[in-house]
Amino acid sequence: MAGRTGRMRAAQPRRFFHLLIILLGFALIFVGKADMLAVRTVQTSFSGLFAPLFNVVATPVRAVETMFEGMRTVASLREETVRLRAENERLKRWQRRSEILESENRQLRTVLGAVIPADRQAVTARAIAAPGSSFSHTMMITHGTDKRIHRGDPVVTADGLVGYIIEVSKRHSWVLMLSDVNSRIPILLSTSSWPGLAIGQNSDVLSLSFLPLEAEPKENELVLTSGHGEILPPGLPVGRVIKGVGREYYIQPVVDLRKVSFVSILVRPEGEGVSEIGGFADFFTPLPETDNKRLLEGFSPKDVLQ
Amino acid sequence: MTSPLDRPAELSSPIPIQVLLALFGCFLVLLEGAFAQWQVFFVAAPLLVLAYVFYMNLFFSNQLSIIAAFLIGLFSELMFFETLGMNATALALVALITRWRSPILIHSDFLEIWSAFSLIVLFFSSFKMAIYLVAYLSLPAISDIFLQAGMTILLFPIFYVLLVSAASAGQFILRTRMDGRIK
Repeated sequence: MAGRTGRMRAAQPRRFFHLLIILLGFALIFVGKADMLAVRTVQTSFSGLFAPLFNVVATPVRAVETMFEGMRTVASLREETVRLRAENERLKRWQRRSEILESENRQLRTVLGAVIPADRQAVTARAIAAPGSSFSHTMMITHGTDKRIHRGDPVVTADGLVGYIIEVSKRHSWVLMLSDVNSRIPILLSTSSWPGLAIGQNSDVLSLSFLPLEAEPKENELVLTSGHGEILPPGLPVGRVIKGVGREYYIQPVVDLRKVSFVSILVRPEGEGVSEIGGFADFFTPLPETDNKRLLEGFSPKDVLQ
Repeated sequence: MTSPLDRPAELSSPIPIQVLLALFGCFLVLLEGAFAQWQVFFVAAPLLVLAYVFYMNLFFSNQLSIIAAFLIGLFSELMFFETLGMNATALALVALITRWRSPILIHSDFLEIWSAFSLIVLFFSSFKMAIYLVAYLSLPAISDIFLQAGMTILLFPIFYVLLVSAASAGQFILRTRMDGRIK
């Protein structure tokens, strides 16, 4: 009996210590959710510090995947050749079409007097850490402030937008992918020009929200960045509309986020400050007051001027 | 009365082993992140760290403390920009639950250990989902979470065999070293 009481007494400080650890964990969750600058700085410096070590660990794992990829490619070489030939033909047709459209676009721009944004340069980087879980859709990439990368710079592939930079250390950066729950991208429907917001849901599709009531997005309609908020440049492909139940709409990203290995970061040219991103006024020139047609944003000039 | 400096050095202290095992946990965090780069494991990388914490607390609870499990979780959060404290708390709770069940599980056969681990994986995922729900008022892709949980449960036997082998090798090395010192 005395032995049992003694054991219970000895276990009490340990239990208190365990409880303290769990409470500390919950306190950390609150601190993390508060999104404090100090916490973000610690996270950035920490991941930056261990990134080279992670790269060392990831290299053999990547090599194994490359080996399997090579084996798969060899196995499907014949099939791949047929597919590539067909794709090549299709691309040639698209090339001719895009040349016609490009020339038409150039002519239209001259008529409108709009300025083509020359305020970005592409820096290519390799993705070195993918999400790994469903709870956070962020990606670590090579290059940081050493390549003039700043927070808010858009990250793209040849297909379209992947996300934007949220944290930068000297040699590494973190990308908040479109699909992350914290991602909010101001968008524009390409054919109907209605503005809205693409909200990540930590899943394969994004939610299309804040559309005006009269907006009727078409299935498979291309969604582009609108440039509102002056963080992302306008016109970057985000995804295609998928119709949900009732008035619910979703966006299927044009980029297959699962297969991102190399990305381009659209940085500002050397010597241009972060505050100088602007250029917004160059794209959106207000229409004359008498013009009663609808603007790109879905409001008539009268509504805007009132 | 002898001062601490006059006493012989403690050569069989468990602390270096504990530190090494905690560092191995951190290495597994990096390995888990590296596996996430495989297309097949995108957002569903197997939870190697969880299996490690479960195994260690089941068979070697003195070697991997609750605080070590907590710190390994914190390391993964800092490294991969996850919600701060979520992984750490979940791993600490897993360590506590495993310790609580270890007197029964330690004498069980592999199938029972596997089913206990499956429950632990479900608890781990549910706990993280609950925290996520409270923090963001929405749920992440459930199918991805199930895929990750399923992948972890399916791969557990392989990881278990690797851990048992590593533990046997470690114990053999330690025994040989101790025997050498005695001679």
